[in-house]
Amino acid sequence: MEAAVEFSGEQTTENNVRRDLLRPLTGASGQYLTAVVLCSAVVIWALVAWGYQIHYGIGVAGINRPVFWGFYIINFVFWIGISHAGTLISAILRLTDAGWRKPVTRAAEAITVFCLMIGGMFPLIHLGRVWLFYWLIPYPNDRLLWPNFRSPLVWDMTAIFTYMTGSVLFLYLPLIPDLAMMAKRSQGVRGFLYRKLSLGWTGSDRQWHAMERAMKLMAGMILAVAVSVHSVVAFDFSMSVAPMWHSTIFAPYFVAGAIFSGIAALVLVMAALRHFLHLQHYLRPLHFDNLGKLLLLMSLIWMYFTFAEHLTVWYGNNPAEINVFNVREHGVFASALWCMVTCNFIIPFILLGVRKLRTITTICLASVSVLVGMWLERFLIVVPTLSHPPLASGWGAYTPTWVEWSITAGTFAAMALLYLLFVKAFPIIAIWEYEDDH
Amino acid sequence: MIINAAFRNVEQVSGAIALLRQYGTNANQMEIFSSKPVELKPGVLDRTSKMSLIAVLAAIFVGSLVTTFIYYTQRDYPLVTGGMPLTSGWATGVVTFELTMAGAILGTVFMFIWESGLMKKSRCPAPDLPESGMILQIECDADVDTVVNMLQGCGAMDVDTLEKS
Repeated sequence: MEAAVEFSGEQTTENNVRRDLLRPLTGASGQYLTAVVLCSAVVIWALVAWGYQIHYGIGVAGINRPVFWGFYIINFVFWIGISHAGTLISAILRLTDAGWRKPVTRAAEAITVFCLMIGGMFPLIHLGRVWLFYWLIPYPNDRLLWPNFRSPLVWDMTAIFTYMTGSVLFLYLPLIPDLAMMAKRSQGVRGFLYRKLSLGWTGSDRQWHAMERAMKLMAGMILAVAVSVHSVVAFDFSMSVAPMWHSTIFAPYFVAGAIFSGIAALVLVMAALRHFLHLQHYLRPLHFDNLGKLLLLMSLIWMYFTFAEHLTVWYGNNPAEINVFNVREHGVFASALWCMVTCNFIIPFILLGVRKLRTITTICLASVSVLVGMWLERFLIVVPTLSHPPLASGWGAYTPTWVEWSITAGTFAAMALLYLLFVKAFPIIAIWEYEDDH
Repeated sequence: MIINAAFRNVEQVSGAIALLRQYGTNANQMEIFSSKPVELKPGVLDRTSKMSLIAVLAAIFVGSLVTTFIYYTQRDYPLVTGGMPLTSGWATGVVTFELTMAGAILGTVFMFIWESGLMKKSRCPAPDLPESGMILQIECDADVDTVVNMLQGCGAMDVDTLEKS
């Protein structure tokens, strides 16, 4: 009798979990619809700006001699960096079997996929003649031209292809049991789609074993791929003999920065989900506290790399490098540099380092600060070096145009829009993983 | 015949499996269905897997294919390199690494689909998943009544039998 009571209690809890986590999939509040309309409007405006650029040519953007990389490459590095939030963090937490990860992983993995979709667009936007993008792909052609395999741009393409493929599968595999469960509860087109996407999942022990094995293996692989992807993005810079780019620590510096900005993005997404989807019971202060500590650790690592990079350049006193160093430290880019240090180190250090100050609100504030700081970091890597080449006669300036601002704004709106649509289609917390843990 | 027996917990289902195996039922004739993973002790109902092996083989295959492709492309269609070597192990290494990992990932996913039997028609119809607890399915050719009695003795709450289609 006692066992029966216990059993029925367990069922009630599981029903509550399912009810709570499936609730966001049904209906749409006025707030939600307003957000979708606003984000869609900004995305459409960005598409119009891109269309304008395609029609009139890349000259409508502010990039020109000597600054040939501007907002597009800054945004590319920024979004690929944030993409590390998901798959990398999720993979580390899966491999270390951190129990608290379970409500966090799917939200994180979705960030990766969306950021890669957005970040991966920027090299295409930056091409100008986007319709020729396939020239990067190695294919037999009558001009007997093949891509240059020594070019970091080809490395980028292969790295992003692998990371995108791995991340989509890493998000999709643990979604299958939830899709099967939702297929039973849904009808019409939705039910049909869930049934097809669940691939005939029955919940047999063979399937669970295969899932666990696949996820463990994938986590290890994704970890290696994620590190390599941002290293390859760093190689785009460090392979050229340009002042303050040609550095051996660029790859780990970029990886550390990517994880740093990724955690900040994850915190903000989780806070939004917690507030708007009423998931306070699932996304608890413990999750934010743990991510806050990770953010603090990454802030310290980032500061260490930044200091090492700047100290080496200053001490070397190489004329080409010191010019770039000077404009960054006390020249035209000084305000951006010190704002970056404040956002990436001072603010997170105070808000996250003092235990009494570490609340969900302050962790979110620190995360916003980190995202601003990391965008500035990417700006400071790209623009000062290009605007100050070794010969002073070649120095120039860069002013972004409305097209670049619009496309940049559009990507932030696109990220929000993709997330808004995702939470309406799929449970943002893996139901089976959560139930398994409780 | 197919027998579906509902159990509340892992201990009961483990006991039933041990008893059935003593009785001569093969591990391949038994399957547990649940809405979340069931952690059984090693040796109870082990499932062998070649997933890691296939992932490594897929990685080696794709990696070798890519390296060969890059080598011959660079050699047969040489670019102007300005004195740099025509083929470079360092640069090729990056592309090889990325696509080797792609091979491993795709190999793993292929094996996941293969070993889990997804997208394949099952010999036995899967029971409806319980919200909690688990169902042990046995493909039984022997004395059905004896098996049903054994399952009930191990704590099965509900036992259904149906004809194999």
